Amino acid sequence: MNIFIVARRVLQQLRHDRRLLIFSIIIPLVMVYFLKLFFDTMSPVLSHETYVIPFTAYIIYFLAFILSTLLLVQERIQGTLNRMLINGLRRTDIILGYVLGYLSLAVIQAALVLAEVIWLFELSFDWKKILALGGVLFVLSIVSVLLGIFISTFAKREAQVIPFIPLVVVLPTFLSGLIADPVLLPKWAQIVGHFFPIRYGIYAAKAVISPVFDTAAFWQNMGFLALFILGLTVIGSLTFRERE
Amino acid sequence: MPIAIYVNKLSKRYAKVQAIQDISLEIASGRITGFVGPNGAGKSTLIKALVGAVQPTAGSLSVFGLDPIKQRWELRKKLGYMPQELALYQDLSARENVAFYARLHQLPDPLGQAARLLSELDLKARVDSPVQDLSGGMQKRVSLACALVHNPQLLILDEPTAALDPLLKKQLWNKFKELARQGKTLIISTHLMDEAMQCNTVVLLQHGQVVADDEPRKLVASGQAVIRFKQAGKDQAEKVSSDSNALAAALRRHGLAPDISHLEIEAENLEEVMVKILNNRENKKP
Repeated sequence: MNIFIVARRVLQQLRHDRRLLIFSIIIPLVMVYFLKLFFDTMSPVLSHETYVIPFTAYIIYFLAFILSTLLLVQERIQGTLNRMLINGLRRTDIILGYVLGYLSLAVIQAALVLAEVIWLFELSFDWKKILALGGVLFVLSIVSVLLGIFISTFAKREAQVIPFIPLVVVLPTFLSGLIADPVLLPKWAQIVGHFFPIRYGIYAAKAVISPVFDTAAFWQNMGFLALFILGLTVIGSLTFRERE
Repeated sequence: MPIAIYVNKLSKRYAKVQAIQDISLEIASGRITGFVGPNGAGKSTLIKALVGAVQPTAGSLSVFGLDPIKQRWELRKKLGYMPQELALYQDLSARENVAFYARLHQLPDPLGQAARLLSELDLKARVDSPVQDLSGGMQKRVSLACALVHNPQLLILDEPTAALDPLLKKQLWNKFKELARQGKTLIISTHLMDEAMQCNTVVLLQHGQVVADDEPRKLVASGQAVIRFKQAGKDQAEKVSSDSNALAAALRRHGLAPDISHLEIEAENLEEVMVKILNNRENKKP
């Protein structure tokens, strides 16, 4: 019950804050357009979807992380987080309420971005693949929101989120299969890459867009993302505390 | 008066700072208790311990017989808390903010309840304004409404009138007194002595310890007064205790002789008494 009350409030906040809405919906669409401009400069021999779809997943991951981290840090700064806990809310109520509230935005975000990518890059996927890709983006944004909630614990001000961006957002671009094939990286870098959830999102997306839908690889990577959801919810509940 | 809150040898230490140390207190129900003290005295930490927002390092406390941390769920219905920061969602309207807490307390018709309470607090015309568009005083009242919406028995207000104009302060204090008359227990932290004088009991804190716990009038009576008078054309002065009996005795001693042409009594006010208590303790420190 309390989860729905928190989710409702998160949605009300998102609805009232136009900058936040623009940030969540318009900016991913603009970024995908710039991705198109960038890929137009590349050799036509290059298989666009191999890169475009993982990049799209990365954009969703990045924005959901930043948005949820900032919202939670704001809650801490404004004292509303303390107030919710004093009013009897459990930590899991707040975490899951946030995730639930963000889900509707994530659905719209994933659907619009995917539609734009398919239209701009003239990709011809069947409905099964489109749904699977939508699912990847959706699950990835949930993981990202949970990661944002977890990271927000370590920041007392919005500015303190910035040091985490290279770690959570930039590092995975090199280690998670977005640019380079992780198999070609040194062994230690391959191991580090396994700790970033975006890796599994990218691999799940790649399994979908391969000439033959690799169902086993898709579900395996979605399973890893589900484990991240579970793990981050548990860790988030344990570390999520009010500012003392 | 039954006791609402028992605090027993309570201490809280942050990394390098001992915020409160060995505090023992009893707070009566149906009264206004003021937590007074300089900045950093431990008022907010004590309040946070009472509402279960910080885990004490040592000691124990009970609020209506409940542990604020272990029994937070049971306590939440009885407790209304207004933190020092506004703790409001700036993008949401005043009504939506209050309704959020009404929903958390499973109240029927949360939006209606919120509107009614905001009207009682003179915010009828602004119920649907986003909080960020309201003045500081209005935002304080919205924050108070969030604490009051579930009609709690105990209200803990951390510096509720800080930075408010005198008129609004008076309005809020009238509201606090009305709530106390209804039998609610109020704990109000303040560093304003005119506000402390309006409390039934004042708890003075310094360096995380209680240095005085009494009715404000009794604290004032523990101070000193100077009686100045002109007798037979000559200025005279006598230092006496501010205690009303001592003052009366002094006046009797001099009598109101026909040649006393002028009489003034300069008694220390609560602020002066408290500063003296704080300085005395400071000077006694090794």
